[in-house]
Amino acid sequence: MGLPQGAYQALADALGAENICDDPAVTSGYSYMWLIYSTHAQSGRYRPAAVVLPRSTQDVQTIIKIANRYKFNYIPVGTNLLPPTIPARADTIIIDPKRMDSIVEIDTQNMYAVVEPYVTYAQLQAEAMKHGLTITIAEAGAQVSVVANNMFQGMGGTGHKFGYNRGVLGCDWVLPNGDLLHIGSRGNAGADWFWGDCAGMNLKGLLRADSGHCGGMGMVTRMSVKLFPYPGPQTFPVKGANPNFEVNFPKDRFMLNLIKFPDRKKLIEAIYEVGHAEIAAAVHEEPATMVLSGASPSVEYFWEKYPDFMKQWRNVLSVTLIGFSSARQVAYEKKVLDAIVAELGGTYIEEGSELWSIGQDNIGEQIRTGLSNRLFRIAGDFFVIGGFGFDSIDQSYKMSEDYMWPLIEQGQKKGHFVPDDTHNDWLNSYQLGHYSETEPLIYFEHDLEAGASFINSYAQTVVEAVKRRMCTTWPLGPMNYISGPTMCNYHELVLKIKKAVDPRLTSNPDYPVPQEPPKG
Amino acid sequence: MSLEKYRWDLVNCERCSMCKWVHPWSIKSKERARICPSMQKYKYDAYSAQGRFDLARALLEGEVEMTDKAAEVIYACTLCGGCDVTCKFTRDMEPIEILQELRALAVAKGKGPLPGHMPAVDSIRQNNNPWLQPRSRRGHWARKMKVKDLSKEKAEVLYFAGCTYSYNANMQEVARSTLGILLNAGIDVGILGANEACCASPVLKVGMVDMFREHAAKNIELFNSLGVKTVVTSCAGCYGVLRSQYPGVGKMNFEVKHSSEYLAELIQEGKLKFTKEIPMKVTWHDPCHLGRGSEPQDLWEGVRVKWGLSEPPRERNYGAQGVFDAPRNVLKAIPGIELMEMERIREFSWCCGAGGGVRSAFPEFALETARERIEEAESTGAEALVTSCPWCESNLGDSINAIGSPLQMLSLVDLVNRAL
Repeated sequence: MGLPQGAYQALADALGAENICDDPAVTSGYSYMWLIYSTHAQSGRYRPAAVVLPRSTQDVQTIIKIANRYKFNYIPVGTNLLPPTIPARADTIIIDPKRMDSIVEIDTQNMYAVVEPYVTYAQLQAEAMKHGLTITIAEAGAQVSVVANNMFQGMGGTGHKFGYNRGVLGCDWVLPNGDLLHIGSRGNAGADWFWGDCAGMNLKGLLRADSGHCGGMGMVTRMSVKLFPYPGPQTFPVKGANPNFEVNFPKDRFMLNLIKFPDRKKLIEAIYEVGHAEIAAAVHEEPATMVLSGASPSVEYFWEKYPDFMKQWRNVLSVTLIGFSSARQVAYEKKVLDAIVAELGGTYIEEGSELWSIGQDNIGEQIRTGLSNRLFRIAGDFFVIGGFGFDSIDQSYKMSEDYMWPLIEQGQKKGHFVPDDTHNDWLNSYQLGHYSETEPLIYFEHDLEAGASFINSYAQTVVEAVKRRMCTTWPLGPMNYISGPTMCNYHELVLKIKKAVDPRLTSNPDYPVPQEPPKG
Repeated sequence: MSLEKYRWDLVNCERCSMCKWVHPWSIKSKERARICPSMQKYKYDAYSAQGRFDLARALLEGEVEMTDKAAEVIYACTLCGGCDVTCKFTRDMEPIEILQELRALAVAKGKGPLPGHMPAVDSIRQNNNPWLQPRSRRGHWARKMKVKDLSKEKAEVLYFAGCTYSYNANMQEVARSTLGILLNAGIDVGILGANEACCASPVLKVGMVDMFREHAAKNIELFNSLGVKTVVTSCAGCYGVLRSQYPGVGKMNFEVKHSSEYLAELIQEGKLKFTKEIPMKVTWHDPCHLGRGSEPQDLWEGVRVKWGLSEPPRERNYGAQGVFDAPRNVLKAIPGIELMEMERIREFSWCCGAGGGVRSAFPEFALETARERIEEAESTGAEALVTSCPWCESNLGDSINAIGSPLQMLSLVDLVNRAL
């Protein structure tokens, strides 16, 4: 089923005929998603009924009003990386913001930028760096949308210093009835974009708590995001040639430390101590698979190096020091770090060693993500075992050890997941160690059996977290029916809110929570 | 070959969108972040490598038909290979081969080439050049030059002028100047005159693989029969196909060099000395087929096994081993020339917009793409935009005229000649 009669013409009249297309040759480009079983939509089963290209907030309002008048569904997308943007029903259009790609403003005094949905992190950071400013960039890659990523989570490499989920300020938000809502300081007459709050109740929580509404509650068409000080060169300092680039920040202001600890507990302790000391800009446990994939120009290279590398690269903490105020800041922080490392029995990986050469681009990755999609290189598909442990550092660690790694080992025994006996996650410190996230990374082939193994393991982590009363993050769409009952039935409240603003459930209908629980 | 060979690539694309952008670490500004002209023009994902992968997968699975619209999506692409560079940084996939394969499929299904391509295709078939010119006039550009005719004599070097430099009166000077420089430097060089034939790159680009292979095989046989050590060409299009595709057609007993490489070597060896100063700020445009598109392609036949490994292992061309330094070295050697680099250079160069049959089938798209490059060139402060490709020169030159840009459009050899 396509669009209701008259709807296509109404959209074409509003946007211009060249800004809507329903031809399968075009809509196929929005029908296939990498994680085959990860969503309600079987990839390739549904093409959108049409794709539209709005140019402005007003265009988006018009599209949504037409959708309500003619009764069809729509999914607003950003750079379109995550599975929920694939239509699950045939009468759904995609709102693709490629013509909404302006950096509206960079306010260097108040340190924020206002962007439209098709501005990527790399674009924004490239412009911000010219003003001595930066932004923390999603690990999904610097090629993703600033707006979409902040709507989803807004995590990033330098989250240890700059915070987690804290970047969103004001927004222009087109509600599912087509009305325009200004939130944050944008909501106060004449107050502009500078702050995340406004008079009265803050509605930002409706946009996103843990993981956003995935286009289920209308579309944000402009967003102001925080910028942070950046003491480096105006152009991202890269040298080399494809596929081997090297990042070369001035060492007096940017210092990467790769530290091996005797065991994972010591590593976790070190993260706490670094946080207590309030030093460092980026702090991550770096698993062998992630580091080696980042340095691998081909899958063959990875697999040649991996068996030996996995033995050598264990319990490695990456700590990046940035001298925001001065070079002396780096010198001071290094002394503090030295003391922590000595106390906990850690050893620095020597600069110039083979291990260092493989891990050295970590510093570039934390400032502008450019390697992360190489994770797919290892086996074809990659994801995190499941409900991403977002909690305190020790709880994240506990989740990983208690139930995530046992699930991974099951998948490994079946031959579905890439072997990895390190039990090292990609564990991140946020907000100077007050919060963290752990991602036990798994890699699997793009086939039905391995895909099923992955998605079952993913769902099982949500079940296990619920059993243990631990945090169940990223319970996307139907998975909220697993986690909801253990947390005051929040999913019912979320669904009520969706129905209040989207009575016909037309904005990415199954998000943030589908109307019915999943069958089976 | 068929799309089936690329099934692994098609189902494993995770739509990371790297194919739409310069690699993030090399992005210097918001405005010069894109790598894909087709995406820039048409906006829909379908016009990116990611979207064309989806279309290819849907065609393979029988979810969609090869329609006129599908053919338009397939052909509205300059085959510049920008997507190939950024995708391959991340994944072990072959975007440019898949885009070519889609065109071969369009031809097989009777939807390609497009009407706009047909005059050139027919002309190559009939006249051995895409410009509807008689074969007998091919060597006229050199009729006043004293040079060996390699149909009759032997020489170490064949200067292969290519169709455009042979026939286009506005560009013949490039061929004459280059040949003149080689002769003056004492190089034992000759030409084929009327016996030179099209490299057949234009038919390959529009998906007529059999016709290409037939022409390429004849050329290889001819070049081998001449006994030359080196084939030199000034045309980036010819050079790209001779370097990247001909080795897959037949054994070549000669090496292929672009004139910029040859000139750079002559300068280094002291055989080419400049006597005049040219006080000028210039910027260099890397032609796609001279740069990222000129790496030899591994015509791998194999299968993807566990974890996506290739069996047998294959060599991948990452686009960074093309001819980038030689023209820059030539420019830097000319007294008075100041080279101002654009933001998108070398393997991340922005396409001129003419390639892949776009200039003939989608002229508006070609000009818009060129316009973006002109604006980028202007932003360097250069007075002239220099390149060494007849397609780039034509398209960028047209755009300069269309928008009234103050930039001069120059061939590399123009500057060399002026400074001698």
